[in-house]
Amino acid sequence: MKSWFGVLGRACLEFLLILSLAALVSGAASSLAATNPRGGLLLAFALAALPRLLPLAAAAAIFLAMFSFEHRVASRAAGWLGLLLLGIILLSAGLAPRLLPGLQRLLPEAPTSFEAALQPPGVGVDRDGLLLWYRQPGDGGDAVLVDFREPYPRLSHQAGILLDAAKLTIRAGGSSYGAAAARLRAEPLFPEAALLPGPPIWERYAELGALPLPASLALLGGFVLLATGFRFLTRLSRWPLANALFAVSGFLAFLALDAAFASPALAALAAALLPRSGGAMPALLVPAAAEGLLGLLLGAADLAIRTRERPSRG
Amino acid sequence: MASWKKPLGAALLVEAIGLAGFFAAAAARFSANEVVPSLAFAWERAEALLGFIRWLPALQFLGLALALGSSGEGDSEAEGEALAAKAVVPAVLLSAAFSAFALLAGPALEASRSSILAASATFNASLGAARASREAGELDKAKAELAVCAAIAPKDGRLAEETGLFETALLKARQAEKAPPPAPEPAAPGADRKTASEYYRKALAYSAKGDQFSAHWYAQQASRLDPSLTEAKRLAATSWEALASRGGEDPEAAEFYARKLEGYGLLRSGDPVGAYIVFKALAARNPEDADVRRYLAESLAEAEKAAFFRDEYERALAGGELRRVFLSLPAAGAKPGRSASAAAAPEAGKARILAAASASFAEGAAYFRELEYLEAGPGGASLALVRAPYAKLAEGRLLLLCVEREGSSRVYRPSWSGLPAQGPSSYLPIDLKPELAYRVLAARSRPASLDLVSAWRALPEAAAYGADTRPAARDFAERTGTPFALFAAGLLGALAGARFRRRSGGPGKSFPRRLYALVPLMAAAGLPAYLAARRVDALLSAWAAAALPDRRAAWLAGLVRAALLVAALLVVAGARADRGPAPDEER
Repeated sequence: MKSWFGVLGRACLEFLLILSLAALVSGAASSLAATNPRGGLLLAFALAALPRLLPLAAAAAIFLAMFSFEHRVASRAAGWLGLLLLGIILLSAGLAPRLLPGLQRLLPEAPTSFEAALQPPGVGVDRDGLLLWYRQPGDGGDAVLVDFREPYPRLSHQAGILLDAAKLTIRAGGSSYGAAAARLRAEPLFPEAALLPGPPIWERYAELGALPLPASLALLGGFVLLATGFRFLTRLSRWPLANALFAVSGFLAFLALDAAFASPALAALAAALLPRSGGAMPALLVPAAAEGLLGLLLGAADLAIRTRERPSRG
Repeated sequence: MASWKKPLGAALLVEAIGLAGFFAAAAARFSANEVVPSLAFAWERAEALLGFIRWLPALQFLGLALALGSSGEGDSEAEGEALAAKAVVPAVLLSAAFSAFALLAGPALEASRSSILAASATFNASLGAARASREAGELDKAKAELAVCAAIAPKDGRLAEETGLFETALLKARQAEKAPPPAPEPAAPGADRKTASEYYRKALAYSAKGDQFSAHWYAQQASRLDPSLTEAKRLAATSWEALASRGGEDPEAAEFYARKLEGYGLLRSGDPVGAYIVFKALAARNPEDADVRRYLAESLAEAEKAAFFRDEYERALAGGELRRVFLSLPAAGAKPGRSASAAAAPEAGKARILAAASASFAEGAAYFRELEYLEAGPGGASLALVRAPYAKLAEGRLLLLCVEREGSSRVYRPSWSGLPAQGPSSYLPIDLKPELAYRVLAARSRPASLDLVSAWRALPEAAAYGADTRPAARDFAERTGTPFALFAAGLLGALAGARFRRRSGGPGKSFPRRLYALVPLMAAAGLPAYLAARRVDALLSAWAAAALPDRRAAWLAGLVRAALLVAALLVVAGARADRGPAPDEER
């Protein structure tokens, strides 16, 4: 029992660490949209991202805890229950703001727009082949345009320019040129999300607040059950290192499967099937129930397979 | 085998297999449309080694994890920790060696790859332009484009084919054209600096030495300046008679000597390029003529001071080009650390802008194609605008006059607007070293090709020359992440291998070899984790560069990476050992 609680406590700490890191990474990615990102902006975005990243971090903690339970706890049923409990504990934290409305006000809202700025003077900025450089000494100012898209000669010089900070343009020689400060772009963190058959969990989790509490709990239950169902990965092969690496891809497979259960196609299928069930179940809960059922089946199969080893308590 | 040698050997084996894989992938990806075949091996080598460097941390992790994960040494927690501790030595050794390799060789490989791609693009574009020009009957243009191709890949089969077609077209054109090419016009002599008597004295001196060319030219100049100077006229006549007697009565020989005089006149009047063209043509007719050889060498030496040859530019193309050139030259004496905003401030005064279609670098010089140079006053008034089809930057001068050494000896002259008020029109004095120009331009367009020291220096320099420094700052922050990634991968691989190693099942029982069949699947399964780590690291570099677009970006990124490394080590090191079933425990 001591080991069981030990694994649970350690998993909670890992969850906090993962959640913090994920929030900071998300905050950095979001704040990069600003012309001049700073630490404060990053933190504001990170705090705002915390709630929606909660299920992702919880799932990661569950996957990590699988190996600990497998090793530290002799009874696989107890281990499975531990994972289930862990998921419920972690995800219920996401429902806390609903139960305690005061908590909601503590979380800052992410900025929705950034103060746009003109490109700095004295810096040549190339926009798809049209390079613009300007300076504004005192009242006047001049600009140099080099249109690399056109044949030589390409350089033109315009005096008496007008800067429009609202439209982020520079008017020179009767024409207007875009002069918004360029932003650094980073590679998307999870471009594969576009390939998922449905919305990923971090997109759906924010919508849970609008649902009735039982429906929210049912959706989260399906999610946790499916995550714990992947426990079989810890014994997929007879090489623990291989199992650990397989769990990395298994985690992605779990996210894809979870998104598939939230796909519009499945929702349409559920809506089509519901009239036959006599309206006993809201359409929203059909995919959640299916997800949970699949998790239970995977978990049951894992428990039913013969034990091939006696866990070491090293 | 000593216990630390196995992890080292396993890691090296995995890395060698990875390198071979990257070579195979590069060879499979090769396309003649993208890379000139003669540069194929160099491109494949650069591509494979760059891919290898990019994936080194993953290979390092896998190698060490596999070595320790299959060690089968000891079942207890303490033995596992001892095993992990033993792997620290090879992990650190490998990380240090590969970090040094990545930091030192990486930029050179990136520069090589970029140069090959740029040179190949130039080759393909020039070959296409040569074909189009030949078909349009513009043989001079076609020849110039073929010369560019020949400078990049002289043995390319497509070039040989196009050259054959060009020569056929040229032969046909020559047969159709009977009129000789027009002689270049002599430049007006700048005789106002010397008095007629000084010229006459020089003419006498040359006559005494037996140099009838010089004597005739100076005597002619003297009599032109001062028609009353009859001695000069006489001397001009006698020296001409001496020259004519050398030429004999043969009108062709007389014409040859007249051309020599013309060339000499151009040389003395300060047009060495014109003189070079004349003497070059004469040398083609009679290469043994002593006067022609002498003045050809002299005019060549003088021309090289005021102009450059197009083949120099073509040779530089073999090293690749940097395109879309833009430099805002700081005020004379300004320090590189000054920001662009400061350089654009009113007190900076004159703005000096240099733009060009491309720049290539070779032998301490920078060559620009389609150069434009602008000077504007503090109030925005345009003071000068110079355009030159080709330009060469060397030794503090921007040479604007370009000559074709062979064939038609075509001259590419600059067009001026506003300048020069005084001084030569063939060059601009510019306090810009080609190495500095390369650093600034590379920092803007391909910062990864700069070596570590150059990248460090380029950051403030690029700001002073009007470039956005954030891409260079991001690249610098990214490359300083390589040692962190390698150390982290090595240590995490060792820890993961030790923690997730398979139980031995007792003394004498070795690791089942059939489990090695899982290795490719394990490598594939672990890929998402490495990709995610790389994306997060790239985001970190980008954020640091956006927040601090200078050298501080690297420090900030380094600090965060150190914190992440500690966190990752805590998570993995804290995980309890998890061992698979021992054969005797299967039930």
